[in-house]
Amino acid sequence: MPQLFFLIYIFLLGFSFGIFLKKWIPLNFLVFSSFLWGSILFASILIIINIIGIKLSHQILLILIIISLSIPIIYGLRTRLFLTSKEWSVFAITSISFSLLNFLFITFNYTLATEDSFSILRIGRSISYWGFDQNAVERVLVRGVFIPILQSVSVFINSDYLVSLQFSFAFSFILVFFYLSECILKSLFVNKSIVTPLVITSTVLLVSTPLFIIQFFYIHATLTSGIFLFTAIVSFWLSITEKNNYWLVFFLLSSIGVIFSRAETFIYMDFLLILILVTNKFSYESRLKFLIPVIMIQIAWFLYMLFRIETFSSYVNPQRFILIIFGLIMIIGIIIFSNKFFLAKILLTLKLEYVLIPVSFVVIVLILLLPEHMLVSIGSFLSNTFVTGYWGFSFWIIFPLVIISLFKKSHTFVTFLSTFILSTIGIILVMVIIRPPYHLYWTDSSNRLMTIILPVGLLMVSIIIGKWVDSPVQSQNNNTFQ
Amino acid sequence: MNNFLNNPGFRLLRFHILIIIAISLSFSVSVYFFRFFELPDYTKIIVVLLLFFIFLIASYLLINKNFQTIRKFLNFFRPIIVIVVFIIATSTFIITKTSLQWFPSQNSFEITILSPSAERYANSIEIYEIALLPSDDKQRKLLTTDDLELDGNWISEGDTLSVSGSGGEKLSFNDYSTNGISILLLQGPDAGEIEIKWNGKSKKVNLHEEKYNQSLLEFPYVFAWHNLSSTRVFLFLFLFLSNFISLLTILLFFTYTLSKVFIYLHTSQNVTFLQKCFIFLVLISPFLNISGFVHYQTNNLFRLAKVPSNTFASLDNSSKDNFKNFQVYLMLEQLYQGYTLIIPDTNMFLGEIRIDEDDLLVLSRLKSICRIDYNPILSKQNLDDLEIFEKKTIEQMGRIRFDYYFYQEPVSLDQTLCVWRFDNKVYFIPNSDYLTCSRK
Repeated sequence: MPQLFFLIYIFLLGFSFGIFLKKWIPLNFLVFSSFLWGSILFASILIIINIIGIKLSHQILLILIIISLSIPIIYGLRTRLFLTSKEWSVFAITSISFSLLNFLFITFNYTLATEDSFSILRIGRSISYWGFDQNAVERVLVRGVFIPILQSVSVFINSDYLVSLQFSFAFSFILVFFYLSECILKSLFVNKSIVTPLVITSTVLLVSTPLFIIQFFYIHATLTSGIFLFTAIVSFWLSITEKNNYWLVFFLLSSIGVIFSRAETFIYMDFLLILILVTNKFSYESRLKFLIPVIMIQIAWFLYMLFRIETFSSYVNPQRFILIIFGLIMIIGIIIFSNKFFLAKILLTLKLEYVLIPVSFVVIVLILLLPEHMLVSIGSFLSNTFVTGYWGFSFWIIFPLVIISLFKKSHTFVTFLSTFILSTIGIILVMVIIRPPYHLYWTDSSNRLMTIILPVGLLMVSIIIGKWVDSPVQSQNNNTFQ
Repeated sequence: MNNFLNNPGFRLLRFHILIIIAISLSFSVSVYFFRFFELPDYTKIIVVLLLFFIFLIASYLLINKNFQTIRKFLNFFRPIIVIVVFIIATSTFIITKTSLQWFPSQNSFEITILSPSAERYANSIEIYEIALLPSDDKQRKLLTTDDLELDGNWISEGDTLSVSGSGGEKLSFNDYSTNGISILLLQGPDAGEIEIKWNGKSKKVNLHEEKYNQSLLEFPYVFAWHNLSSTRVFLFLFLFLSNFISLLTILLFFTYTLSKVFIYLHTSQNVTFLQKCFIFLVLISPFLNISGFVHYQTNNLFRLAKVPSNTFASLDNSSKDNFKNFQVYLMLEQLYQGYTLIIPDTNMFLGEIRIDEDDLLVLSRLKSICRIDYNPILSKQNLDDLEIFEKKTIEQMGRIRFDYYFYQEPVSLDQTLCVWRFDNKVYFIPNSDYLTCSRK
């Protein structure tokens, strides 16, 4: 079962990295999210290896695995980084469950594939044979690099493809969603007894959503986009509420996951950075330390693409790259000068909801310029969200609260989440101008992109409902009736 | 009451209830989520066992602590128990009925050649092919003489079966599946009447025509109780019972949870009526979602089903979208990895035969592609000469628009491979002195 061992290695890699932050970050989170960080670290190493031009082989992969596990183990032993028995049991239960469930779904393969999936697998194989050649680079710009480069390992472990890779992400994410939601809700509510029922409800809602279940088995990059955007948002917020900058390490890692997941998800990440700036919750030093690297990674990647591609097409052309790089440089400029002069003043007075104004404006302009194209797309998008996209009733729950939260005075984090959701939708609608109109049913690109919004939306729902039922008076009443 | 609850007899009863609930839930979930009836036999056992243990543990944890409360609920339902049971039974029947599409029943197909009419002394029937119709997860499959029971002087030539006689000859096919059957017959002046029986229904078809023609008859799968074995009747009843117990269990816990929530909300003074309604909606949404998922699965909208193996070919066969000519690339990889492919030096040759150059290199792992000026059209003589060599075939079907043939002989000493065409067929033949493309 070489695939299983590889997935376990990724899990251990993530844990061996995370354990060094044990003093500042709860171990439960580090264990639950091990696979997520391990996959990002491993994918990043492979990307760098391919950029340098080293051709991966069985031997190099084996050496890489041995070194990447040995270094943290040896360093951990030297710094006497040990786990308590309770921590060992959390690690043991999680890793054994992870292994058994992966074994189950490798043996009883329920993989779902569409033509996009085969393209991703094909890119992965291409990378394994020829690295980042012209062909691979062009296709990576369409499909993203994260999933293909992980799938490329299958060639070296004599498998056609990694059968339960998507399930591994989903498994880790369900645990992480539960844990992070609990952390956030505990920090927001007076009455702690309502936290667990709320978190259980939102997790059950997440796991019961039909199209979310499908993504446990569907080879595509939307699940990882949604996962890492969620962890980026929550890591950022926890770093502020707990005044613990170590959460920002995971913000940075999540950003890498988002940037490389799909070709266009870097836009959502950059928009998130803008929202973070507007919240004014970050100190200037933190902005420089943690936001600028996110932009720099994107600039480096696009510069590499620009100089690597030998022949361009109408879709992949130098002007687009230059535009993107220019936009990223502007964001760096905003971050660097965010404590200066009028920019600092603007950021202080700017409300989160105002960010929706330019997005809405662009959408309206596009509707006026391309009415048929946009209206067909918007109609398909709405139909998919509520009926034909197989999201069940989840978005029927989320969207009324999103709208209400904008018009009613809400907690800052709720406003942040609802603004993020609406701006993401706006970006999805804007992106349609460079492609054919969106269509009905679950395989539509915009419908699958709603995976980005689902966990964020459910977290927002649990916060809002919690706020309704939470109060110091309520906790007194509970004591009376018990 | 406490004495009663601590009574060993009652504890034994409670244990049996747990087991029954676990079995019911595991069977119901395996049918609707894992498409139980389509799984191989050993998988069925493992899936049900796994789910059984999961639900047993979950039931033990939930029921054991709350058994007293659940008894109170049963008391609560007492006045309206008949209505509740009726609703659950109706729901159970509807849910169980949806599983029938996966329920293989015995298919019996029989063709009887009837006596020729007075003007003719023989009834000549020619059957070009009998095939199983593709169901959602199974491809079309030609039936051979090994699959059929033939009674009479049937002559088999390739895929064609023919018989000429005074009537009474029979051809029959039986299996347990969810496939329908299609049959391609020759109509003509020598053909007469046949009687076709399909799962208890009978139909007479007159194939007599002045001119020769083909007649395609299809008998799609429809679940029928006809010839349902006692085992399958038992399975259906067992599924009905499992669904009933599962729904009852879910209803009990659902109402228990809701009552807890309502008590909490009722005491909340700062929660408005609308907010309470919304919270109720949120609480029932997971059940609505799961019902939606069951609906999508039973109607195969996702095509989420067990893939036969972990290979690309299996994934391609079971996927909603076939990757265009994936099988062709995989066959080339299997047979000609590292070869140099020689193609004619004409524009769009590969595009015409629906082959992508990049995919040839990536998926088929060919060493390189070389363009040479040669005529890729094979003659009839060439084809006859090649008959002595074995070949593998990928037939035209769905998105595969050509018949592709793959030869391993005659052997190419320099590992080069030529592409040839004849009508709607594409041939991959090693380049050798026997048939070469590298010389004009």
